Amino acid sequence: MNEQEALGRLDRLIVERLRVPKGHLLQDGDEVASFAADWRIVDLGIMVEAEFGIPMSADKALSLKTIGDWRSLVRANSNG
Amino acid sequence: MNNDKDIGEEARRIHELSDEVGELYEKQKERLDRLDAAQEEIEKLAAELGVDIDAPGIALEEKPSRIVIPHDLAAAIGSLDEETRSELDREFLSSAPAVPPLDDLDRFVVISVGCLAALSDFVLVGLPPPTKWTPSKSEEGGVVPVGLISKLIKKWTVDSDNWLARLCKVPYDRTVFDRPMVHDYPVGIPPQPAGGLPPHIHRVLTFGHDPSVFGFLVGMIDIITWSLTGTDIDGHLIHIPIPGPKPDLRTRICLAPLLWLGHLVSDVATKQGIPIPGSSIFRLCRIPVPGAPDDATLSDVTRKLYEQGYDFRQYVVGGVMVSGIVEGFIRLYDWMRFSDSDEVKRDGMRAQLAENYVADARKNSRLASRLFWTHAIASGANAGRISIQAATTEDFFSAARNVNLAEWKIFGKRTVEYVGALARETDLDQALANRQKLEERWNALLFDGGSAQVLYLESPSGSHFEKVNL
Repeated sequence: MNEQEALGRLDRLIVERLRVPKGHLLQDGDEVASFAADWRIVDLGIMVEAEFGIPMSADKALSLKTIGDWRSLVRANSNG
Repeated sequence: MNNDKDIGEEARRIHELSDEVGELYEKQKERLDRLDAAQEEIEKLAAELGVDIDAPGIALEEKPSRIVIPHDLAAAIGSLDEETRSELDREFLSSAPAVPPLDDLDRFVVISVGCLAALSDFVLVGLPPPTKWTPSKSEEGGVVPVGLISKLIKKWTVDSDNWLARLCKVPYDRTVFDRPMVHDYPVGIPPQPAGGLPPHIHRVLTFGHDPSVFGFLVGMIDIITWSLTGTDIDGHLIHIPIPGPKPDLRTRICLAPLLWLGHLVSDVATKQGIPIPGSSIFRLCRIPVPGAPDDATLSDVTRKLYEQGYDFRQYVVGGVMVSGIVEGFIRLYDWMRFSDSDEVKRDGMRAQLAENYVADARKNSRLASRLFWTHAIASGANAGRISIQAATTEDFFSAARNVNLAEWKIFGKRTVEYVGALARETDLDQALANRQKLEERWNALLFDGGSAQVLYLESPSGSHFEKVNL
């Protein structure tokens, strides 16, 4: 999976898990807590671990405050 | 010829019998006339003497629903003083209680056992040990500790790829699928999870891992059809046929129950464990839970609690250490205190069937009331534990992890039994109690070497009857 593909899948997961409003263009500076409660952010961590094989935990997921943090994490773990 | 002769003989006998019946009818008529005359005479005499008599010969359908008290007896009762009459009413007409009331010793035992169960709920059951999916900040400020037994039981874990799991392979233990998974669910195509099922929560998502009757039934179907039935992470129903090598159909049918049970046992002591009984039903309930953040449904809450360590072991610890204590101690107390008095002759005679029935009903309702009140204390304490954690952590899931589901289930069952005991018919109890009192009085009347004594004697003035203390 190359970086572009990985980021595309991550965005799809973020939209689905965090219930991002339709039509909203995700920006690196967007705060994830503005979209959903903590438990949904942990769900995103669960799906990221399942899809990308990145070891996650509740505390780690909650420490990623912005969309940019999540993208950086996936970028760092992607092959491309 | 012979036939004609026989017919003639029979006709003659019928004729004779007819004559005899006619004579009997005449005699009967004469007797009835005499009886009518005698009745008229009696009524005439009664009228002259001023005695009121009830008309005999009431048809069955005209029978009054209650016994008519003869006038002289009614007069006797009427002449009793007010206090005696109210005492009689209280003694014989008041309804027998459906549930024997608690006495002081009962109350002491119920409260003591309830408090013991509450203490055990707080210290031994407590919170399940946190997992990596339990946010640390949800624990901040919380006062409820991790349960001692909960922690102890989770220290013993086995690898999920253990020998029993390898022996009892089931189709619903898969987390990654060969077929492409879709996120958007087109009409007519069953929804399927993208990227497979997250491995650490696949057990709560698949119905075959549910240790309940429902889980057993779906597990059987899954094993026989070699497929996976469950929900995706959001609670949408999924059914995925599992491709690849599988045992032949006959083997699958014959071994399905063993495979289901064996696989369940192999997973109980794994790090994440298996979900609580009934989890698959909860997973299908996509209804919002009051107070839950961000519209979390019952399905979401069930999954979250499992993620955060509330598994079958926690459920069992809660059941044994709270419900078990209540049931064990109260039943032991009931047996020790009442087993002798509950002895009823079981010889099957009709006269004792009613006593047996009432004794059983009273025994069951007495036990139901004591169990209900003790479970009420234990469940109330659990509600307190949930509230304390909710107030101190302000985290919904942290509070929800305190729910002792096993105790609440048993409390619900005991409440239904207690309400049933309260609502039962007590006419038979009352009748038997009255009969027993009457027998005691008769015994009292005859106690002095057979010489009869009476309980109520006419007063010297003859105006009323007075009670005599024997």
